[in-house]
Amino acid sequence: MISIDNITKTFNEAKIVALDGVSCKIKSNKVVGFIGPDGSGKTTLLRIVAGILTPDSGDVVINGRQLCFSEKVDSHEKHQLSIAQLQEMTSYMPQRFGLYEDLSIIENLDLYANLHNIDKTIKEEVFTRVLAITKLSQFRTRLAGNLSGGMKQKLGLACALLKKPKILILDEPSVGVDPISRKDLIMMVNSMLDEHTTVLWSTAYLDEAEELDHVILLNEGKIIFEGSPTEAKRCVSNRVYVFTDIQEKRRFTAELTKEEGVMDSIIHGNKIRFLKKQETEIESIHQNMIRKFYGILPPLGIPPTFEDACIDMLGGIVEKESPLDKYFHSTFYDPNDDGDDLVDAMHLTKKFGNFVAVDDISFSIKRGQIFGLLGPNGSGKSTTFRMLCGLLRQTSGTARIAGIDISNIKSDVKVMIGYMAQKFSLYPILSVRQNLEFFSGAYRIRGREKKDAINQMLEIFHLSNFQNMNASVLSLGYKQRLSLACSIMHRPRVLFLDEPTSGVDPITRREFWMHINTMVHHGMSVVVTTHFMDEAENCDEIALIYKGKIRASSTPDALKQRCKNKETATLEQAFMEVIREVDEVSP
Amino acid sequence: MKMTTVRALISKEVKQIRRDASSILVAFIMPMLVLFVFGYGISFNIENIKMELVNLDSGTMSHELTDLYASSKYFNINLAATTKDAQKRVESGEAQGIIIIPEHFSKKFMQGLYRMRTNQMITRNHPPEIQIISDGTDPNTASYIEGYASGIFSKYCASLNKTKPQILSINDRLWFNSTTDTINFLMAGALTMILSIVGTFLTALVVAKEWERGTMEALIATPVSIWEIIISKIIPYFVLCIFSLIFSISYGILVFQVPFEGSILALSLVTSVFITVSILIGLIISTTAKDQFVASMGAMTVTFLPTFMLSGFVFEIKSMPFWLQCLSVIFPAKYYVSSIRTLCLVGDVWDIILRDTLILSGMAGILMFSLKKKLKKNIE
Repeated sequence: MISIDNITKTFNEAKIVALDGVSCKIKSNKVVGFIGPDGSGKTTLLRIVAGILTPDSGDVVINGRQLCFSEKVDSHEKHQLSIAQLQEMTSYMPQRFGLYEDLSIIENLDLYANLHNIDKTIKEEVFTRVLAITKLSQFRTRLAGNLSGGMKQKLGLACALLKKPKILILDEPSVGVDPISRKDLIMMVNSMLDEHTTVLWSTAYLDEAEELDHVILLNEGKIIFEGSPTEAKRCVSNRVYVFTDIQEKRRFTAELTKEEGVMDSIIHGNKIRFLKKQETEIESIHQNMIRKFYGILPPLGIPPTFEDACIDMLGGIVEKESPLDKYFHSTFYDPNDDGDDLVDAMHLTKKFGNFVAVDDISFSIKRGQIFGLLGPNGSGKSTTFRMLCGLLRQTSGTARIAGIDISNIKSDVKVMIGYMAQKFSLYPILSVRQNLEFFSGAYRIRGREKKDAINQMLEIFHLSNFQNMNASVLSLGYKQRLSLACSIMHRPRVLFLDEPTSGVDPITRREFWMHINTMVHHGMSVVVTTHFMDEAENCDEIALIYKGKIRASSTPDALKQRCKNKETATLEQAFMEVIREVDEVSP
Repeated sequence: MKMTTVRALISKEVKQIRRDASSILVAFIMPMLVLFVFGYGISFNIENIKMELVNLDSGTMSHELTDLYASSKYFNINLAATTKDAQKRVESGEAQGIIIIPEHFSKKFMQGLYRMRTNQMITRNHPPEIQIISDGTDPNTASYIEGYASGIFSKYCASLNKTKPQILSINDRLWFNSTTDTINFLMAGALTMILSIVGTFLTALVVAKEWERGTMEALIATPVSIWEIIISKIIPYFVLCIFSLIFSISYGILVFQVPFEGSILALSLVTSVFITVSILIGLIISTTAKDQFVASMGAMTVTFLPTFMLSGFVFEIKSMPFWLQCLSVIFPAKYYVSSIRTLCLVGDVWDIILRDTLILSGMAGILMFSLKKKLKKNIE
């Protein structure tokens, strides 16, 4: 058993309290999930347990022996555990997989086998087994740097699993990994460990945490929930409902969110899913909504997910209405004008040497629609995305925004698009206001209009109090808001979002999508890549890219129909089904 | 310390060095460039200095002397009519100095020679003399001008005297070496610079790279000890430095005919200690910076600049202000330059070699101790 007792850790340079008196008990031989938004203290806690970070105060006790962080320790003391002894029995996989990119797969394995003192005689046998499970056998001599994101994570995990550790510490092994590789990672942990291992698994994906026996939810350095996901879900049972067959889903969800008794509402294909407050009667919500949307059916109760429970524990959505509504209200969009397609991709192909990354991809996006690009790591979706927003020159084919070729550098086409990068591309040493000023200049907003736009952005995204702070010291949630503000202040017609919400807490994610939905309602088109399936549900159309081609393209609901269990199918199952079909035809 | 662990880490390091073109570049191509630049580019024997020559005399001797200056490879002579003209050209920067042959130069010279021939003393009041004026804004060049110009004058006097050598003896004090000597003198400094760049610069990058890529985090969470990490970083780069040194010395001897008077034993002794010091400095910078950019700037600041400025490599330490002399004491390059220069030009002077080796060993000890304190199996 690992007992964590009142641990506090402050980082001086940033004056941030990473852990604030955290105590919990982790039972042996269990998989325990550590969840929480970025900056909640997950990584700090795991590093302390791995013995590579010393807490300011508090104790870690492992199987009755107190962990001594000082290097000079008498390891013969029975009730004390030295760092060296701890590291003999643990395996740790850091967030940024500790692989040597200039070594091959087999060289990485060999190095970690030697570092973990694995017996020479069994080494080759262990490697064969590990490579078989990770399906990396055919790439033995490939350099780790040339692997895709998912493969790297598998190799990193394989290195941590070479010896059978008593304690396995995995820091967000699945971050930025597609759903298929994510399933593989879980499978690897289950198949390679026996019942004598305690696993500490941190993740930002709540659906992943739902599968575990025991989770610890951290927020701002404090534990706000500890127990089984089932237990957590009990608090929100009979509180989750869906409205079905909704036509104007964006307006509907916006109105529903405004309801006093609604804590959370999201678009789920053609349905609107929501969480109500404990004390609110479901009938009153229905009545209120009928007044605005004539003839809607009464909502149906559905079983809650762990995410619902987390939203409940985090207090639900605070901001009920997006102030962007006003900002975009007077823009050039005419909601009644159907117009032409805003984005047109025609026969886009991209070759890197002999490798065809994107192979003849065509699609179009209408005004006021959200288009999702989904696909496993290395499938070609990021390449497609980059060609669309003019960051990468295509080998052949054309990409047009509102009829103008994106590669025509003389035109003002770049001013019509907004781009929000995966890693927020803010200038860390500029202040919030300076960042806004820079981007407004880059998007050619000038004079009075510029001043206006900046002030409105500061107000809309609640950044006024931080306007003179450097962007680097903002919390992740605020960074994300600032990043969005920078990319939309020039009222672009098309917004490109590259995995916009990875690592952000669910509440901030809801707010983010509320803003997006508001802008889309006013006629903006959005292209988004994501690994979150609930975000994909928000799209009007999804293109599933795999091995450089679009393998399926339709609405989320239609995609789900491909599965055998049509009624209960999730988007993730549909996703895997498509990939399985492709692999069967051309393995 | 487990041998398997150390061996595994060393083999990892060797593979990384071999696959990284930049370390090969720094270890072998950079020394070639440095030696090439010092061999050909930087010559402290300056040639073709632009000079004004004002001849106020009309005698034959002044003409002979003028011809001699004009034919010298050190000077590019322009004949000026008046001193004023010449002065103007110096002021405008077109010339760097003036040689003035005064009135009655030939006459005085002849008188002098006559007196010498007749065993009379040259009176103090009338020695044959020329005036040399040089632009003091560049003191280095100014001193060369003075040296070369007076050297040529002395030679001329001597040549006239040859007919009767016993009469006037002029002591030839041309104390500037001929061109080939510069590289001999600079070789020691160049080798020091090469070794400190290879040793410090490469190692400074290597640990910082591991922090940046997150591999260090994975490494320190395994049961390796600090000593195993330190040793496995030192050994491969030590060997790389040795290769680089052998390469550079051979290059210097073969291409520039630099002499090497000392023994291999003395060279290996002082070199191995110096390399260890360089590598340790690199590792300390690297553990402190944890960022490749900062580490490389740090490595440049503590190795390149002091090696160039404060090691006695280019600028004589004894002619520096006292506080700067005190400062130069703490830089290891100073001791290595002194040893290598001795080994190249003089031979095994054990007094110097042992003294330098001892001081460098002391430094290595201090550095090793502080590295052990700095490099913790801790992420902070």
